[in-house]
Amino acid sequence: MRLSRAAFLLLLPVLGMILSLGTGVFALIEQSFVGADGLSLKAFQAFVSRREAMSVFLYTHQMALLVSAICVVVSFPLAVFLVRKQNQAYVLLIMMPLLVSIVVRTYGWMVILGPRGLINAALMGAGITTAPIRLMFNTTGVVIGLVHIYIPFATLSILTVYSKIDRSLVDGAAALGAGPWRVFSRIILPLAMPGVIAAASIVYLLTIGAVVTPLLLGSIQQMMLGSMIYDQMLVTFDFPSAGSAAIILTLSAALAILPLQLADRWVTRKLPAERS
Amino acid sequence: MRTRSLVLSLFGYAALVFILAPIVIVVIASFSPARYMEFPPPSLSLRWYREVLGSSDWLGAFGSSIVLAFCVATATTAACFLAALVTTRRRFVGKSLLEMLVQAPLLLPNAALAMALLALLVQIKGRGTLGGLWIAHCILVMPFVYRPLVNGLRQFDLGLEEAAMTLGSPPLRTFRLITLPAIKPSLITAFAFSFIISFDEVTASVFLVGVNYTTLPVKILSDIQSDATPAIAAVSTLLMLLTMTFVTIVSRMVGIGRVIGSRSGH
Repeated sequence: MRLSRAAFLLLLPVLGMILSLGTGVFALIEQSFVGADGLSLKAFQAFVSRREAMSVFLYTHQMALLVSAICVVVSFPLAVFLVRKQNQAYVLLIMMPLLVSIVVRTYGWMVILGPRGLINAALMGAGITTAPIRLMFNTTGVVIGLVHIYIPFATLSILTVYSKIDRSLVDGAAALGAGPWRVFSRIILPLAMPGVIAAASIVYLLTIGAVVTPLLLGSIQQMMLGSMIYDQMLVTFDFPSAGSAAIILTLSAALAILPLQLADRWVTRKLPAERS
Repeated sequence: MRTRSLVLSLFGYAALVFILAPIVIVVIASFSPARYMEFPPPSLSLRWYREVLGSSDWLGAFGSSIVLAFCVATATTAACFLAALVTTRRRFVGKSLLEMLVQAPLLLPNAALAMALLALLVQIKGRGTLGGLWIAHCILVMPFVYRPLVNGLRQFDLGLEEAAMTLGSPPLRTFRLITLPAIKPSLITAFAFSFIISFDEVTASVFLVGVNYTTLPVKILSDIQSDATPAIAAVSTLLMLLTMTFVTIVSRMVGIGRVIGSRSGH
């Protein structure tokens, strides 16, 4: 059906925003693909041939894998806990940090993990160590910071699916003699799988695009793609390199999320049709 | 069975402590009198609050952020509301494509989205200006605003509109007296959350601000990188206090359930 002119006018502001984003994406692609001598893949060849850039690329994806795995492993029991508690206040407490800027939350971790921070003060006070141990400006710091920021998202994804699982299936399996582990692995986990996959996809995507947390809690020797783009853009003013890194980041994100989306289709097909 | 649920509860409370720890720590650290950040603070004082509230740099950045967030929330809520009016009532070619493109900012990794917005602002010469950041933030916030508004409009019974019109009410009057009041909670929620997202945004903004124009979260970020005094903790605490007050007011107005629900579309 065609739209009336009035309806089209109502859509215009949102269309304008979409077109603006499109313009930005296009300009980014243009700057990375088009050099002085016409269309070229030089910027990408440069990225792939630079040892540091490739190591940043691999490190970023390793971090995304690690952070998504930790988030799922922590968020699943947390979601079960929240469903058992039957109390909105707990859910609110988990969601509350979403209202606090990530730069503030990351700063909070600097106060906890820093050389004169809470953990080191406690360890030295108790006489366990004499010199502060290094908890940030390394991979540990970034993982803690990112896991902390993304747990609410992961928990919410799993919670939505888990809370809809039909309890009678669980009780039925138990009544028929299935042990707790068997109930979990054959009933609960498969039914909650769409939530787990959604959580993993969201956290993966958020981690590889992260800028602030790797910048503040990570080491300068081992950057992530986000902090490398920040560095190229705002410290060394190398727009073309930052641009091609951003495009490689987006393409590799799509490639990494694809298997999860396929798995989601497969899982959803295997699940029994929803009974109402 | 007992031990298992005990283990689960312990885990749940531990996770809660983990999630709230950095926020609580920042609040405590903000009362430190020390020149450099250390935890626990040696004693308690309001030194850094006085410093922050007397600093034109901090107040200026705060003002910029408030103005920006207000413009972003107003424009995005209005734009997405108009679009949602069409997409919830009309079927047309390209509708699903449009709805997918509205979600596009969520599908791009943040660093890449920031670069695309930067490329846009360079083209339109808007880098480091209120206008430029306004456009960029509207794009960033759009997916979060559109979804709750569509959900709100879907729940609205079109029969009420039809009834009013059958009874002789002209379209604009119907809209003002029937549609708008019914959809008001969704509009308030959309406004409030686009305000907060824009006000807290730092990942993209740090690429987009300029020498003469900066926002509060970006100033916090650059201060952490340069001198990292407890002033940052004081600013952060004030920021959280403000957000919490704002959310409390909004949730009193529309009900807390709606407030959580709208943020879950992330």
